[in-house]
Amino acid sequence: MKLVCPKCKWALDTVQEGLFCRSCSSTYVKKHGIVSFIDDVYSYGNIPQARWEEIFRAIEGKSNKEIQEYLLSQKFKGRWAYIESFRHNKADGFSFLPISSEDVILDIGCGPGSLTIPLSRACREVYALDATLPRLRFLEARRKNGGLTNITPIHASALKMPFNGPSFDYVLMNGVLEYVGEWGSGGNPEELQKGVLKDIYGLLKEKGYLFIAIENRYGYDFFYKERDHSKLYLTSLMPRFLASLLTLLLRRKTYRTYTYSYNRYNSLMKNEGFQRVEFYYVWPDYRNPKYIFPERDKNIFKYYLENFIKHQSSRLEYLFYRWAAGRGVEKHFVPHFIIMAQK
Amino acid sequence: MVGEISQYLKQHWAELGFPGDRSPNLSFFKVGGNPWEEGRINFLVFDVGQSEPLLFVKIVRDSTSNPAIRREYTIMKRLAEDEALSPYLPVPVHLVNISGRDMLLQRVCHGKRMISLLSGSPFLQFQKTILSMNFRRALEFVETLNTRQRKRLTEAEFRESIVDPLKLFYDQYEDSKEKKMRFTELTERLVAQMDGAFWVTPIHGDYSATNIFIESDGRVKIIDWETVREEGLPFWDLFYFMSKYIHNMKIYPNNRWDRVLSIYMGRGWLSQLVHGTVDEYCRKTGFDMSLGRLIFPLHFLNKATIKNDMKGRDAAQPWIRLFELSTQNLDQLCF
Repeated sequence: MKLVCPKCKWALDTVQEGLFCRSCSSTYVKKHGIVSFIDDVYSYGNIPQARWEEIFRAIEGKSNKEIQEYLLSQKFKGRWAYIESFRHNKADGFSFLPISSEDVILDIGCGPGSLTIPLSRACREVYALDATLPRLRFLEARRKNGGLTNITPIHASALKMPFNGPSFDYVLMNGVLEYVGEWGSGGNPEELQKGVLKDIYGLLKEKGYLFIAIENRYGYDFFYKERDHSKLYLTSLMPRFLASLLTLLLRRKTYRTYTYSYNRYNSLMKNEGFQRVEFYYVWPDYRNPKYIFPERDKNIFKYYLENFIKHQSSRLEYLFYRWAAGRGVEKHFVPHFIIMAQK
Repeated sequence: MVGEISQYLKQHWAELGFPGDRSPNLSFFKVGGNPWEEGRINFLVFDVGQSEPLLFVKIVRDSTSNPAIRREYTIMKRLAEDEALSPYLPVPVHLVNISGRDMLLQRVCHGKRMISLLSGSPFLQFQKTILSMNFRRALEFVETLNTRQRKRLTEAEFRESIVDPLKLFYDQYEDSKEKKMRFTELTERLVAQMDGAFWVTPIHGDYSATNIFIESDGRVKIIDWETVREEGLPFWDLFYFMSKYIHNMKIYPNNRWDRVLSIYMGRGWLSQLVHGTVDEYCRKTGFDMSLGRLIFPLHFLNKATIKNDMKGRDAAQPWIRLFELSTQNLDQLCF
């Protein structure tokens, strides 16, 4: 696939140092062998840049197993996301989709490759896009170790992607859409999210799917068990202005990691033009999806309730979901969704 | 993947023993499984509108791991031919190949997992009744399996099948010469104790309260045969069941790993229950209790090998520790 200039959408030419746009004369150089469209300044998460360099020196030439052992032997904050990225179950939601060996996939916010790696074995090509360069370097190390030749890592922002026109059979955003609001320089987070959804719609081929894994704004877990993306309790449940006031007070930044209700996700997708939107419930969360089942089959939820929630969760949680299922409103309170929207 | 399975099931609906008068509208529930690349994905299959699942489907993520699923199928199928064992198995079971991937289609167990019947009381004292009931239920299957399916090996075969794999693993895992010597001493004592009668039995390999279903009619069904092996030591499944059960109990104090050995080496009522269960096993299977004592530490080591294969060195560590401690304190066992 020919990449395009994110600024002017002109097809890019390959030059020695990377890619060149003949229209606007921009040059996009490769960084550590990865084509890069943005500055390497975006969030490093919990791992500082100096530490990353140390990690890359230590894992160079090591097998995937040795990389895992190295990370397990270290004690720095933020390593678990990389250890767990070797789990293949994050991609289990894709079992419900008809992926073929001819399909081309775009993984937005691919991180260290939790979904990219398993999906690359099932399809023709995966374009793995992330705004954090070390994550892509980590993915590259895994890719090489796995002998995978159909993964193209791209250092770019989801707000300005180097693609043009319907090119993908699947686009996925696993725990990503909620962060889009933090990437823009100001502006309404919801508008930024809508903008990305609109771009994705344009990049999908006819009948292509958008795969989103995300929290339910009003999920039961967020009433008292889990913190919101703001790292505070209850903020997703509050009116946005109140959440913003609170995060400004306690975290010194406004609230921009918007999640939505079942109905709102549905309308967001439909408004962007998606024809068919299907929801799946995912438990305990989409980062470790032990249980996944379709929202449309109410009996599976009841079975899950009586055979799993009842024995694995608190009495209060069980009674709450039993009440919700009795009234057919459980979809408004399950904590995590996988949303599959077809063009 | 689900679409391909659904299509296969619809085409073979009647062959699988379901009424063939209508085409089912199938829905899939991904349940549990193993998160790693070579691990498995499980699905419960529902016919839309039905409140209970009809089938259990087990798939390996990485199709190069197909031999493991074939082994599971072959052993289960063979065990199911034994009429005394068949009622404990989730049969009928079918092995099918869909798009180059082997899959097991199994009967679904209805009822409750034994793990969900563990007492909710944080005090051990209030768990007496349920504990003895669950131990009795678990013993029922193990003694049937170990009585009906035993096989006698020669000493050379026994060493090759049982001792050598454990030795190989422990040699790679442990650097201490002293500990390695202790292992050799234990296995040599075991070989001597067996006195030419080298009995081995199939082992489930993960015989725990999580994998025991109590059906609504009270029948016990054993699920998750992923780690089944044709040749293991008698007592292993029983010891593992008790160790894991003791470890799983949500009681005070919350020292799960320390609790395991302290109960095997204690004199309280739970230790007596352990003793009684082992005694009953010996009575019914004819295996000697002194043999059980020597086999006891090896069930921890066997579990360590399984954990090491599936989840790596760290996951094996607590089991290794239990193996080493129990080897040093054989004379203090409660049975």
